[in-house]
Amino acid sequence: MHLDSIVNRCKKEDRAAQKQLYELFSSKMYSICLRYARSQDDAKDLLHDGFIKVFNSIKGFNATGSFEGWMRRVFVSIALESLRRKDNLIFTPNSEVSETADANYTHIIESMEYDSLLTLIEKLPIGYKTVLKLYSIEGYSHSEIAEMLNITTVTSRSQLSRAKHQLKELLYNHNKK
Amino acid sequence: MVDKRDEIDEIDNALAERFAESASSHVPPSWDELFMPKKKVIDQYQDRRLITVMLIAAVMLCGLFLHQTSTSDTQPNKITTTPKGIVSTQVTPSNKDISIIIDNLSDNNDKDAYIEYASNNPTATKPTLQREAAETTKDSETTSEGINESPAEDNTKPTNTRAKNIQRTSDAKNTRHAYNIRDAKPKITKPSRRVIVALASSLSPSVKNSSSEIAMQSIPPITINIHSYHNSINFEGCKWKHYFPVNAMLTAKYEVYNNLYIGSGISYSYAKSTTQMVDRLTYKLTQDVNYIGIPLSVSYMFLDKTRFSIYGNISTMAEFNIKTNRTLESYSGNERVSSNSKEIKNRTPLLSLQAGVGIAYNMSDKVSIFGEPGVNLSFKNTSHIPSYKTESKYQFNFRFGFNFNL
Repeated sequence: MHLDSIVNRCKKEDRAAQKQLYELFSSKMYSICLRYARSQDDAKDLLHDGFIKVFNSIKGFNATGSFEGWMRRVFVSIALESLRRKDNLIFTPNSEVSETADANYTHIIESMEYDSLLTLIEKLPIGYKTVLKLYSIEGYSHSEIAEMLNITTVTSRSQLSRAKHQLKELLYNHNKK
Repeated sequence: MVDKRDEIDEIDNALAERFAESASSHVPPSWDELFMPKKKVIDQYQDRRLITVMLIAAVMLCGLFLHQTSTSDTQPNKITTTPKGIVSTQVTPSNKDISIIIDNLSDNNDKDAYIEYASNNPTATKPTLQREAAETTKDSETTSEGINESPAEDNTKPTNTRAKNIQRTSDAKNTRHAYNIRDAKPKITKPSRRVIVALASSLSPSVKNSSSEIAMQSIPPITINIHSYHNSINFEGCKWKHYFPVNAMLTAKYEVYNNLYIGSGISYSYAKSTTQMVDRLTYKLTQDVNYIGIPLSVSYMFLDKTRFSIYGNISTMAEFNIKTNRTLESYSGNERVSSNSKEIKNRTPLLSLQAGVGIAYNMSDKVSIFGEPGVNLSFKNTSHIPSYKTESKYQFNFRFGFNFNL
């Protein structure tokens, strides 16, 4: 069934259409939730809250943009809200940056297990990893990140830079093992 | 977009590709699991409560039925004494005749003799007993000669004392036995009230992922010298995991009325809970709570057989938090970076009500082993330190231990 039709029926609070929408996007949205949640249970909570928000605010969606993009934005904002509520979403002051060793980081990332890679990213300070996920994985720009996190674009850039630097160190050490 | 993603490097590309690949590998929960009206925890507890109440009611009814059945059928000639020492009988359809006979006797010694006789000869026939009653009554009204050596005869027999003695000699052994014991002092046993001392423990299901708030001031301060990222850890929103609690109880109960007991004693409980937060380091908060409780119970023994007994028990308990420690540890991988403890004080008593039905198996006259499933209702108070006792209002537990009859 065409997505527009499903969305239109969801706007009329059609339960069957909501289920179809869920089946279409739950996998992608769940992977977003898993990136920001501490556990699978938390991710399920985020998924539930995200879809509830989507169903409640779908009437406000206009067909000018991508529906999936709109949904992703809803889920990311839900996840960030949860982070703010549960964690000290502190943006660590910039520290000295040392040189990183040369290595083929693309290859290291591609060869790593998904869970191991996520564990490494989780070791970063919360400000670093949040910006890194939003920029590198979700694909948001610094101005969008700044708006979402209520920080300046300069902070977003510097957090990203430090995040990548620390991640390289972690990847390098992981690869050495 | 106003802003361009102009700083994309190999890390960005590799991460984007790696996470895009894995996006479809995660299986989300089904629609039904997430959105269909499902029973919440409290509903499940309500169902369990209903089942437990029905189970307790069924066991109580069975116990009552067995109790009634055993009273009417298995103890037809049971003869008891009142607390005042006056001999009487429990009148049932089966021993009604004996009761009437005894009531007709004027002398207490005669009554005593018959009671003992009837107790020792539950199969004695009604005509025999009636005749004995008649003989004894008449005998007591005639000469003193016939009382000790020669009981009286009935109205249809000769009045000569000698002849009566001869006639009596030919009577059944049971009748003779009744006269022989008439001068013996009857044993009048006063009702004994049992005292039972119980050493028990109870099992409660562990509660996982509860969501009590953790106040910041109740967390030990922590300082980590490597990178000063966190000086204090905010566990707000983290969920407790409550481990299997340990409980031991020493109680004594006294039989205040037939099969009705009241009891009290002392209880000790230890509960451990943990929660953790994963950040740059992993922070693990461990809580150890120690309670001392004073229970007050009322129980009724529905069925008291030689080998086992069934009883219902209702008790209330006030528990006091005597010591609570919280330990905050931080880990970098598997290596512990720091550890610090803090004692939490909270003296608010925790009140609870418990109901259960137990079965006891008598291993000997003095010792029995018992098991008692029940339901515990905690009067929740948010000022309590969170533990398995405060997380859910209703809890199922299984109390078990030993009874010592004193």
